[in-house]
Amino acid sequence: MTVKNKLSTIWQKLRMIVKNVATYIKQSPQMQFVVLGVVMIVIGRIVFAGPAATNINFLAEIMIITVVALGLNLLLGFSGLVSLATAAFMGVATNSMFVFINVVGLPFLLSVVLTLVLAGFLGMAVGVLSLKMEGIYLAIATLFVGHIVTEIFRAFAIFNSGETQRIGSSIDFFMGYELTNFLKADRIILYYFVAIGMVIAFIVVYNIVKSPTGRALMAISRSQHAALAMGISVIKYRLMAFVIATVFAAFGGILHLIFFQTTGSATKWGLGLSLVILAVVVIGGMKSLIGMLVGAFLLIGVPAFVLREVPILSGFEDILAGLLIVVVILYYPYGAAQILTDIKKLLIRSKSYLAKKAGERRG
Amino acid sequence: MNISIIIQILFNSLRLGSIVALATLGIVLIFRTSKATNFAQGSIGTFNAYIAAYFLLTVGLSIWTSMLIAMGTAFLTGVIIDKLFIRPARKASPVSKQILTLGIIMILIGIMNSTLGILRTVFPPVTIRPEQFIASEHTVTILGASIEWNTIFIFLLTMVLMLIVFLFIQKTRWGLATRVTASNEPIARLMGVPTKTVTMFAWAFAAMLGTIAGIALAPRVGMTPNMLITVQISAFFAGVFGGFSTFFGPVVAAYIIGFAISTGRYFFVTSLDLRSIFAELLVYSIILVILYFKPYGLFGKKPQRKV
Repeated sequence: MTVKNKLSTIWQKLRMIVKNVATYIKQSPQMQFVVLGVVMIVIGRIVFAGPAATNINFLAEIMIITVVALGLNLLLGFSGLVSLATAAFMGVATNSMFVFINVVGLPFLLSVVLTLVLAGFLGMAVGVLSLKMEGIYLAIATLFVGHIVTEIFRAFAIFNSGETQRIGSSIDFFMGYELTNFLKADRIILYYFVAIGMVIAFIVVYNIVKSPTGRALMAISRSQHAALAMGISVIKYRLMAFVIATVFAAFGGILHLIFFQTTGSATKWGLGLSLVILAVVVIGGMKSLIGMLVGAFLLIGVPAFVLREVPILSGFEDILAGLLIVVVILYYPYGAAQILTDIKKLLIRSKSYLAKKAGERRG
Repeated sequence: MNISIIIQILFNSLRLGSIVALATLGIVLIFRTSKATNFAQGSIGTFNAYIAAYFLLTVGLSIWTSMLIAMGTAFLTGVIIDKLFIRPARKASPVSKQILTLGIIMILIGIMNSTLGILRTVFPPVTIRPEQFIASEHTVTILGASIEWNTIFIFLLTMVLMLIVFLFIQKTRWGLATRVTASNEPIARLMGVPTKTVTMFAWAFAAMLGTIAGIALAPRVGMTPNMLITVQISAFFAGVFGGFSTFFGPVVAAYIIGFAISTGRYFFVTSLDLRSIFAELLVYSIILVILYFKPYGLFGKKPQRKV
């Protein structure tokens, strides 16, 4: 047996392994999300090691917004309900974490659980409101809720009157690690947590969508009356959708607290960010999961990475980002995830065109 | 508590209510004719109010001429936005249209924050304070309270504009076309109503109303790109509180909210020794509770939906 033969058998074995792994990943979407998380971590590492290390903040923000958008997608895409209080619920999570940890003095994990439960109840309250109204009325009612929440942040001294505040020192993050001990140089470790959180969010949402709950939500989004006639309890699933969306927003808020270690100001959690999250869902494509990451990248990443780096375009980031939103909505009404299929179509068409040309030449 | 304080509160709330009413009428006009929730109303108003301030402060024209010029640019802004963004997206869902207005906000804010050449002089990066319609030393004493003529002027201007809008909508042929478009756009188009023109004028007119609100507010809070954000949020609340299905409901609601907040602020600050923000909190919470029992507003009707 020559060396060449040996090499080729090893090569073939490797190919088999890769192929098996590839088919396994293709067959199990949960694994795809894990791969996505790994890819994000690798990108994060590369960015963090490079000259523009501060861009890691934008990457983390993209993933946090993706988590929140996944929850809102369940509400908007799968049950057709609009919420403009999403950012406010993120603020509720960061501020309640602050109160639980710094004022009450609870351990980190217990405060996470309590915050998620609190968010669930808040979502339930908004859901009760949603039983009465639809469309723009519901949108403005949720805007009302969000506005009241941010006003509460501004009104009370415990929330630092709506200003951002750093989470206190020496907090037991997990197993003896202290949260504030992560210095700026160790940001990458916190980044891993955000990436893991995003993967968990993806898997949970995927499982919800594929469960009977997801199918019921889908039926309600198409026609409420038809769903009712099929024996689906609209009240129950509406409430459930709101609770899930709010818990995801709170989860996003907790990730924000872990990464940035601040609560964020009341202005940050206002209508602007809620609209951006809504835009992420619409632009990413309702009912699409990966689309949320694409949408978050288009809305936060493109202005931060692409437009700011090009010298001619700097100073125009806001205008171009706005134009991007307009263009995507006008030409891709079903979301940016459609762009990928369009590119595929273009490739196939160009291939067949080239083949035809070659055929003509031969003939 | 004497009568002069009541009068003072009343006129304060009339000024606040007028500004909100102007913004909300524009939002309702757009919502009814093109089924879009216009979050950009505030930004469009601010954008054109900046142009008025430019002609007033830098070029040195009188406030009336600058306002006229700003009305012209507001009309153009509305027409351009309708032509470029809203009409091509006619088939988009209402939520997509909301996001479209977010895109418009970002474009306008981007232009206002720009630091290039002429844009920097028209939209200066520092807060500017243009003059009022009528200078603040002209006051009138009503029952012991000294009221600025400017406040009375803003209220009267709003009333006249509202009257014109309502008469236009109720009495003229174009008003009929607006109402028909608002009630059912596809059928109206089939019946030969030029719905495109109606929608275009609705956007243009809403932009003009927002601009007047901006010009009226700027001297008090100072000119910044985000000046009208809180007014716009109040305008949305007024729209829902009064009912989006009528044209007059939101206007009435704007004055009710303005009065409630002004009165609440006074009592919270003087009697309860609390910060004025608690008054807003209380008023908004009460409105939210009322909305739970009357989800389509005080004057609104439940929209009919077929299965």
